Amino acid sequence: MSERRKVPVEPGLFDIPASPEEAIYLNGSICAACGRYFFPKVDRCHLCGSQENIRDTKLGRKGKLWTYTNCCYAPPGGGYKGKIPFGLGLVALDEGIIICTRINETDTSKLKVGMEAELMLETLYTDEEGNDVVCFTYDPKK
Amino acid sequence: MSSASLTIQRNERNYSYREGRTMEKIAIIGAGIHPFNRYPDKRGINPAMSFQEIGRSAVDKALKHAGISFKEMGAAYCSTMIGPVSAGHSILAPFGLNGMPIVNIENACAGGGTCIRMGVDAIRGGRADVVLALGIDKMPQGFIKMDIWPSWMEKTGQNLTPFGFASRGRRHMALYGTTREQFARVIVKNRKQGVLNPNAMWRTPVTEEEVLNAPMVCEPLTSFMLCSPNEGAAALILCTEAKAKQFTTKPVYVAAAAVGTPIEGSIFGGMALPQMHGITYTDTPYEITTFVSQKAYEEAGIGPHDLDIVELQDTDAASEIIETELLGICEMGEAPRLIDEGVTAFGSSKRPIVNISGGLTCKGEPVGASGLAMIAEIVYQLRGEAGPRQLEGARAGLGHTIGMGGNCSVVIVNR
Repeated sequence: MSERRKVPVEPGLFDIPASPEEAIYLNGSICAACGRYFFPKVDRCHLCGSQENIRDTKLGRKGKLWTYTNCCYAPPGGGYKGKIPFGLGLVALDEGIIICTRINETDTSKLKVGMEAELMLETLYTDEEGNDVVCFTYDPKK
Repeated sequence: MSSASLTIQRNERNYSYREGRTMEKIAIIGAGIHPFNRYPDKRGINPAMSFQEIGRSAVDKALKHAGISFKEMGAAYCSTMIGPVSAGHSILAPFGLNGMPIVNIENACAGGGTCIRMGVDAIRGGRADVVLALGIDKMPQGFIKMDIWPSWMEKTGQNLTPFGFASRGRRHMALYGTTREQFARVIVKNRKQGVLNPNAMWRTPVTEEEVLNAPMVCEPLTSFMLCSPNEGAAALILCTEAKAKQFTTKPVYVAAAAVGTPIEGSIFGGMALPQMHGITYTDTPYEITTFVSQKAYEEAGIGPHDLDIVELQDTDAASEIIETELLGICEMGEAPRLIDEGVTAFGSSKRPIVNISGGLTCKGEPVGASGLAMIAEIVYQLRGEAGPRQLEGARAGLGHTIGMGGNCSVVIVNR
């Protein structure tokens, strides 16, 4: 039986690696003038306003857990089709920005602010065509 | 970290809350609240009174309170987050249109503060002598549905406001050792205070155990620790000092009306503005409440320790603790102790008393109206009209909001 096809929950946020050995990154931007990283991508720097200094970059492999929560109810609007409860939090990336993200842990007693966290992919749900819909999340190092 | 050396540019000259060119005193001569409530409709909405009717109810009360006729209004500013197009126009038409400008404002939680700020500016600028500031919303039960979130955040389950509230609370616990029990005590305090407020939704006291044992929404916050979107309206009548003397012997004055948005390094403000695409990490985040309240204190010429009453944005129990600190009422990390010792509770000998109205966790939050209702409460208190919840000798109060977009407003009134 062939492996199910993986599709990203939203195009552009990250690339799905061809093999398990390949490293995972987020797709973001950096301003060559300011050094400010952005995720997701931007078309102008939010600090200096420059459009010509914005470059694509990979980022976000590692960071530290800045804060976290376990969400026990479905968010409004019906756009979310993953399991409940689910972990959410903010991670301070090694690149110097804090991003909002899913956290790969719902038992908050296992989590601590400041712990190392590493980027990984998780399957949110299986769509009507049988594809695994995958999303990035951060795995806290226990 | 590679960007730790980033210099955050703050261009003081360009910020919109710099002092106005004239500092003529602006009075508030009337305040009205249509009680915040929820109804036994399946969405919690009152089918018997429309959006327009609850707006008119608040306007009627404010006009009556001031003893002024609607014909005297020179402009109206109307705040709503989810109301209809031309909300203010449709509410005010039956009062007798007089050709004045009616401006509708969607500025999330800061909408009410923004109405006051724009009213003050209009009077100081000579555009009007009397201004109506009005806020209304009829919000369904449950998480607030908003279209500010980009689709990737919706699809990954991040488009719910308690995510931000819980994240702030957890961070505070980690930095200062704050406990869930202390969050629960905020609610016990506010619910006790709300019992005395006929404009509040929850008018029964709760115990610490009941708050802790309520259903968990976003850990560490239970449903009792979060404010409820509901329906209500509030209105204020602002005018020149000279005009105020024709109508009342006890005017209160707008000592400051500051409105602002996040800057780089404002982490909580940044979270409420997902379009920031990440927030620059700093060890000492410069939070928007601190920034805007400092501007308000400068404008008013009084500080946090001169305040008798503070009505602040307790969208949740953790926010009351955090915003008490960011407003400078105490040092960072000290607010949980103030809660434990009842320092900011009604009945304390210390000042200021925080959320004497019961706060949003007790009143509920019709977003467009909540900022104006805070100031209405302070007006009643400063005029000695607050009945059983009257704080004796109250002379100065502050109303604070922070919400989506990282919008923040701080309004100080005194007598």
